[in-house]
Amino acid sequence: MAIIRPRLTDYYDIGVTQEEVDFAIPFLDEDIPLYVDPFLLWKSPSMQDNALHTVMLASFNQLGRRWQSGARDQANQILVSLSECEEVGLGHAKNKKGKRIGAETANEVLSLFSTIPEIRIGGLHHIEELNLLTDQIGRDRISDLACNLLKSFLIDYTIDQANMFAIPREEVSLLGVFDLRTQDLASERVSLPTNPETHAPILLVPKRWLRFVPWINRDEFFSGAHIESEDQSLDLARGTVGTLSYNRNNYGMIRAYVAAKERSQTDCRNDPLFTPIPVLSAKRKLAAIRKLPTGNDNNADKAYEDLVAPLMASMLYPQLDFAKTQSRTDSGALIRDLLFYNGRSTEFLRDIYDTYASRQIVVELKNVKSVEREHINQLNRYLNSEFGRFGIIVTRNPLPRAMFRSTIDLWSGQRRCIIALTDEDLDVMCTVFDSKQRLPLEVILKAYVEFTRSCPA
Amino acid sequence: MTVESKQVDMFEKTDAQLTALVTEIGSLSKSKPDNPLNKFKIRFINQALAQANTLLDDQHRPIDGFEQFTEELLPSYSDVLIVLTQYVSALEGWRSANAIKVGYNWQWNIKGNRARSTEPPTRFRRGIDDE
Repeated sequence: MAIIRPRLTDYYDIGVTQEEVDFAIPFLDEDIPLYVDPFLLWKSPSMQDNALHTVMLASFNQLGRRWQSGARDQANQILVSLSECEEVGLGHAKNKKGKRIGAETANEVLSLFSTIPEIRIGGLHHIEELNLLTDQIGRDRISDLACNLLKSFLIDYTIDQANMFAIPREEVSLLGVFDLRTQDLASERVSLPTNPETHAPILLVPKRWLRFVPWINRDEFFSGAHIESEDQSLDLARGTVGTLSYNRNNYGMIRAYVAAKERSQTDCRNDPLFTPIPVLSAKRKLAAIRKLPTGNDNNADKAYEDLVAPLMASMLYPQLDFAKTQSRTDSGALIRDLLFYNGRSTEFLRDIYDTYASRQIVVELKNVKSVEREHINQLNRYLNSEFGRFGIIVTRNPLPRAMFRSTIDLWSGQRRCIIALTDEDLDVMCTVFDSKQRLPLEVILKAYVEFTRSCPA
Repeated sequence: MTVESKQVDMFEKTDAQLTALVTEIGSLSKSKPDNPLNKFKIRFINQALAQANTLLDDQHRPIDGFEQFTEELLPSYSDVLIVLTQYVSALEGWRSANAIKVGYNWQWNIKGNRARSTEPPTRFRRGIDDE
């Protein structure tokens, strides 16, 4: 597939934006850089999420009890299997392949149920406590453990969402589904969306469960929760095996920290997949663009690109989801593009999808005083059947008459649409981004309407 | 030249709307002249302009070829203010052209001689005042 950073919905040509759906839209080639934070389920106002948290924790504590009762190999094996959940595609893996923990680490985790008296008697209160007690269990493992323990729910959720948005499904055999009745892993034959290239099953995860960093996390515990003057050795031990032994011997501190985090639960919110820059920052970037000289002296072209990219990505959100900044070379010249997924969220975006088959919108950045024919040709070469035939040049000044004529000729001859946005347009976009009276996307629509009015009937 | 009574009704309504809009948009235009108007305001202004267009014949139309604002072209407060003031002025021209003096009073020149008073005209009326 030639579109850049394809997502599941893009592959199947389903016109939705990330804002419109309840789940995090998975990428096909890489993971979503977020993690399931079980604390979000605990603090959720939804009884369903609370119940899922309870079930997840009870299942994990049951695993610990099984280890205590002597079935150590069995418990160990189950924990190893639960430690990686590839189907959800969360984390930082570039190839969607994660690794499970080793048997030794699993033993270390399960041994908490014998070494710490409070856990031995009452079990864990939050699964994230593992992060504070063992070295090998980070946010990715916590997330994978949670997803695996809730896999049965995620299967139903995925089927439901796939039906809602007409995402194709196929029959797959899903291994490692945790069965609550037997407290063991089983394989299930279910109908799920799959990666079109690898045919690996995909599980969708609700956006409301995702955070970059768990609410209960090791770094914060060490930076703020312990009293440094009391025990200097803790600092020396941080991040090492010593950390674990200290925490295990001082479990009360962890409980106090967790209790404090529970009290401040109102501050705990899920992280969005994209965070637009604030209005003030957008205005500063615009002012910097205005002051920037044209050309490439003192890397002005690079600075221009670095300023325009976050500005455009933020102002066009949520109508257009930002896909990627991409560099490419064309005839020896380095070109920077911004790519947006066309989720067809407005009438205008639906129109350019229908007219120009625009699946991804290519925005080319040109910090030049005057756009030349070669610049238009560069973008034109990029407008292929995968991206569609609609492109935008963001440049400093309006196109010279001859260049505008050349874009009209491209439309007349090949039905390709290249429109230009200038500093003035960015200014208007920034103004409406601030005033909220109109959408910044409408500035692109305005340029498009002006372009089409100039086209021959 | 005579007018119908319902045209006078429409004039009174439209003229009041456009005059109020000039005041409102004028004050907004002072602080944010280049800000685009939102869709609600444009639709409302376009409604008032459409009523004015039904009254104004080619002779009284203020801007050749202009009918209404295009929402997609993001007209700014200052753009809209210019057009609205032109329309208010054109409506006054139309009123002046349709006012007649009866005794010491000015009245609308309504078909069937129905008496409806109006203010004295403020414009030179070609073909009427130069007779």
